[in-house]
Amino acid sequence: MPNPVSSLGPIEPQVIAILKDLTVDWELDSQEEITSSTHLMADLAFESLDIVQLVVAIEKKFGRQGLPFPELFMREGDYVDDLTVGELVRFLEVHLSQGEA
Amino acid sequence: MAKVLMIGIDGATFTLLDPFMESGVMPYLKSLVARGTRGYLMSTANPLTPPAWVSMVTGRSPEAHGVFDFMHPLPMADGVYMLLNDSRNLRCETIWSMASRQGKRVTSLNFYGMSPPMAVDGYLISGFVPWKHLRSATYPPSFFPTLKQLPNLDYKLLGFDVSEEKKSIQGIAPEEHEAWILKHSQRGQAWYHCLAHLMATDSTDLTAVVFDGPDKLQHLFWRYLDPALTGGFDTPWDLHLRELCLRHYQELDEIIRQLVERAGEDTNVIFTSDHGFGATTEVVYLNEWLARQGYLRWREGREVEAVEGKLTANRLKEHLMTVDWSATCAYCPTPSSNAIHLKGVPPEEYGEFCHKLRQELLDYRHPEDGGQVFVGVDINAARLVGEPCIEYAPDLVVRLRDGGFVSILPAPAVVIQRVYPEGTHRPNGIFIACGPDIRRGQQVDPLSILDITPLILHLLDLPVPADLEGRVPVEVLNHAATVRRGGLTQNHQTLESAEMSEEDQAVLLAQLQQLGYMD
Repeated sequence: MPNPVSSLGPIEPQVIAILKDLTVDWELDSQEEITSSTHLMADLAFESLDIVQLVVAIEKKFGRQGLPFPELFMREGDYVDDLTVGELVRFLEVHLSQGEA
Repeated sequence: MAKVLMIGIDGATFTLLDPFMESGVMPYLKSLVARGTRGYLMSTANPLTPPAWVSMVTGRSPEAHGVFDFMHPLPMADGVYMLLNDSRNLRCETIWSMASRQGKRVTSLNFYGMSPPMAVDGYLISGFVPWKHLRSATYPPSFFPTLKQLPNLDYKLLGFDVSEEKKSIQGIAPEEHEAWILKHSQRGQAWYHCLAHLMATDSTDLTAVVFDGPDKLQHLFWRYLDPALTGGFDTPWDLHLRELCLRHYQELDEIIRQLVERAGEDTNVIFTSDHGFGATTEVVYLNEWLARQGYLRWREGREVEAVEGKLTANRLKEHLMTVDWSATCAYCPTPSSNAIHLKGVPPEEYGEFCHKLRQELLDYRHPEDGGQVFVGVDINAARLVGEPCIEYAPDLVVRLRDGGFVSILPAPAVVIQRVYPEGTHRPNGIFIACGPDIRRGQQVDPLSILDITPLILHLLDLPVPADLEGRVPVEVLNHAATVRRGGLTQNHQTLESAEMSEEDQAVLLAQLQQLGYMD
């Protein structure tokens, strides 16, 4: 069973854990730890299909569907070029807490 | 009861296998045919990898299982989005699940659309998955670390390299041809080593694998392979490439020998392909035809340059932008679908609209040779009579006179001759079977792709669910068979508990469009 939102605890370490799990086989050049300032595209070599997998993993982990990802992926009518872990975490903090309320 | 080994060969056709068997390229397969049964295996209405393999392993038609193409369209207020299909779009139970829940152990490797994987009693690795995500496409998860450490196997070769696979559609530079063929031979070897390990360490009742190299090679190099065409392509370079291709089939023959011998004489072996293959000599621009008939409007000032009729992946987004959706009521969404989807047609006008469009397609004649270009047009029968059907099922599906797939690009003409013949799909795939329960040395009338799941269930001594659409082809069996019918299939369930909302998928797909992963 997915974890209910109320028992999530701090979101950042859980997102980082998801990213570590997702990228464990990728043999990335960078050996740096994933932090809130890590960029998905530039630092973790994310491609489009990887984004799909990431969202699936996030939804599975937090047991939530229908989060407004357009707000995350689009700015001023265009798609963002990259995204930091911190931006992803803040997005989840806002929208998961809204769901909890 | 005997075990079953199913070897799928994507795109395999007797048009090539017969001469290969006769000329000594595939001697082991020839020996199997001699002691078994063969016949055509008729594919789905649109003979394409996703609907065909899924139909084969569910015993259900695309209208039931819901997979018509690699993607499906989602009309939105501002246009049409294309969503990638995966196992969460599958609405019918697979044979892996049917066998598992009735006490049979299963191995399933490299079948399209099986990720996220379903739980089975055995092993499952989906096909068409990038190597970066093979871990999440593998069941049980505990098998993945083992897979990574297997000797003689670079597990990354099992993955679907999107940038490489696009080349089978887009074409590749001549200097890359050798490497392309070699890469697919290495992939075949990788799947073989994976399966050989499992057969040696934990043999299962049903073991199934797909080798997809032939499809890829035949798309690009059909002119070097089809005996009817090879005479016209005989430069030293042509002959060199032909030799490399033949080596691929020789290696496949050896892989088959190894697998069949490893399976043992008490195993029934079944070879299938998802569709046949043949030559395509012209490009038919379906959306251009729809535009000229007034069903679709191109957006002014937006043009996508066609490269010999091919839509490159990084241009699909641009293509979608070339359509003025506010003035479009019929469109073909992808070059693999051969489908027409209607947009905004009132329900009360649906039937008349479909029949009119169908007739116009059938009446269309090539401006130069006068021939009929659209030789068949199927209307969505369920939707026509108001019965429930899958929401993104096509409204019409066309069949072209050369058996090819349409282009969805704008073009200066509706039909343009290709520079040289290329490979494309045909409805008639292959069926070969041999083993203790299979009749020897006979050729049977064409089977349906829907018959494979019932046949395998029967060979595993399992009842055939009443809601399967195919039949047990008793004519391939060497004994009077009493087919046990019983029960119904169960709902398809993947391991994922959370399904993406359509809104999320739309956003993500738009990302895919932007980054060019859309063919």
